[in-house]
Formats: sequence, structure tokens, C-alpha cells
Amino acid sequence: MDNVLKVFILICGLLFTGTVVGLLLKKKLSERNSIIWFIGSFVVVILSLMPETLQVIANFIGIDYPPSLLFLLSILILLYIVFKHSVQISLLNDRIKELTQHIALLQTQKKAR
Amino acid sequence: MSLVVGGVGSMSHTLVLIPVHNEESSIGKVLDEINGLELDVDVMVIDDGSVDRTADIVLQKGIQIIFLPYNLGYGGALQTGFKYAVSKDYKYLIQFDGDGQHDALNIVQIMNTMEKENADIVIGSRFLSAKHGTGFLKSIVINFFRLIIKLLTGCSITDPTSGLQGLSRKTFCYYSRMGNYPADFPDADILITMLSLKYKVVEIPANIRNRTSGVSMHAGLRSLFYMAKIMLSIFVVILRTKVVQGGREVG
Repeated sequence: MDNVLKVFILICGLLFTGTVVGLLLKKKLSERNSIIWFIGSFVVVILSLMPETLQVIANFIGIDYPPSLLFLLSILILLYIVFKHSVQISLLNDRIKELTQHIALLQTQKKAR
Repeated sequence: MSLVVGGVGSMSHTLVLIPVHNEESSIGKVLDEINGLELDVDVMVIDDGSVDRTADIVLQKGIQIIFLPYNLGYGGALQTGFKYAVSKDYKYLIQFDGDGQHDALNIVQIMNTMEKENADIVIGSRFLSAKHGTGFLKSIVINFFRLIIKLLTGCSITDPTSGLQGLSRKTFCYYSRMGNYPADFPDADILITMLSLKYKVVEIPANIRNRTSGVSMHAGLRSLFYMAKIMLSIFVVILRTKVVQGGREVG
């Protein structure tokens, strides 16, 4: 891998890690949700520091162009995250519905008195 | 459908808070045990989305109960109780489990310790009393957290996972605010936060029995994920306290 590319990806990885940490500090991201982002940025940083790993794994799987492996990994991680988000959103929708009904019934009770 | 049901009579200074989730097999005995001691305490059960007969049993016994619309988790249920305690001007709050693992007699000791030592948090530790049976995996986890707490705060807490705790008004007021209390399993992370904020934490020996029925919250492999989760929480706690301290020094 080209040195410039290496440094670029490293900086991206570190910036990203910094952003996640910043959000965690400001309580805008919960610990639970931050784990996967940390793992993702960790993988990116490691790979940028040791691109030979990329080469080895790429050869093993049978990918000609090592950076393609990076893309594949990124896509898989993003897919996983988006999937988790769908699950979380489903749960949130259910809970909001439950709360809405709860409040509606409470207000009706209150007015009935 | 009111949120708070049951209970009459004059108010006490102390609230015993019992969060429950499907504990029909033990909650009756737990409530009887506490009532039997005729202490000057009010009891409040938080029904965290139980689908069994837990709520019926509690209502039958005439104990106050708050119904959560859905399962929030142990920390969320406790925090609901903290909000209630804040609004009702309670001076002390005792966290007590509904699964029969805690001994009602320890409530008295916790109350006495809180008054005598002016403590903010009194922990009933199973390791300070003579006998205790802990699983192998759980021992590793607890020892690990003990070490972390010692390293970060200099304090020796023998039972950081204990759910049997007495809290001062200052403490539960802090816990009741959004973002100040873990939503699932408050553990070493919240203790480290409170110790860093210079709250007074005291431990006393407590008799903690083993579960006779039901499933533990942290069975098997879940212990490892649990440990990782708490570690991350602790990491965030360190970051936040360091940033706050750093900010103060600069500003």
C-alpha cells in the first residue's frame, strides 16, 4: 500500500475514534451503541498500520486487489450496524406506541374525574 | 389505571425500594419478611413489566406498587423509584431485591449505619460476612472490578455488584436525573463515578442468600459480555471525570 494512502487511512481512523469518544463524553452516544463503532475504527487503524495483514488475508480469501478487502470489511460492518439500527428502531416504535396509549388513557381518566 | 397503587398511613423517612420482574415465586415471602419486622419504613415495589402474578401478589398484600408500561431493566426500574423518592421527600432509600436473596434484617443495619456515619451509600457486602457462596466465573468478575475500583479511586469495595444498598437523599437525587444512572445493571461503573465525586461510601456485612428459583441476570457466557460492557462504562467514567478535572484546572 502506498505510504500516503496509509497515512490518510490512519488519520481517518484516528479522527473517527476521536469523534466517537467526543460523543460519548457529551452523552450523545450510549456506551452500548459505541462499542461497534469503536471496533470498526479499531480495525481501520490496525489495518492502516499493518497493511501487510490486508495483503495476507486478501490472498487467503482470493481477492486480487487488497484494498477491495477493506471495502468489503467496511461494507459488512456498516451492514451490521444498519441492521442493528433497524432492530432498535422497531423496539423504539413499539415503546412509543405503548407510551402514547398509556398517556392517552391517563388523560382520559383525569378528565373523567 | 393509576401509576401508583395502594398503601395508606403516615409517611416514614425511609423508603424500601423493590424492583421486580416476574418474581411471583418469591415476592410474597420477601414482603412478608419485611412487614414482619415492623420497621419504620415505607415499601414501594416497581413492577418492571412482569407478565406473571407478581403484581397481583403485591396488591393483595396492600403494598404500594408502580407499574412500568414495559420492561426498562434493573437500572431503569430503580431510577423510577429514585424519582418517586425525590418527589415524596424521603430522606433515605434502601434498595432491596425481590428474589429472596436479601435478608430484611440487614435493612436495620443499613439504616443505622447511614445515620451514624452520615454515609451517602451503604453497601451490604456478602464478602464481609462469614459465609458466602459465589460461582467461579462470578468470583473472577468481582475480583476484577475490585481491582479496577482500587486502582482508580484508592477505595476497597468488597462487593461492588451488591444490590442491597442504602442511599442518602443526596445520592438518590443525583441518580434520579436523566443520564446519571446506568439503564441496565448499575455496577462498578456507578460506584467509581460516586467515589470520584467524593460521595461517602461505606460497606457493612450482609447475609446474602442464594437464589432458590428463577434465573440469574448474569448466567454463563453473559458474564463476559457483562464484564466488557462494564469496562466500557468505566472507561467512559474515567474520560468524563478527567475531562471535567482538566477543564477545571484550565478554566
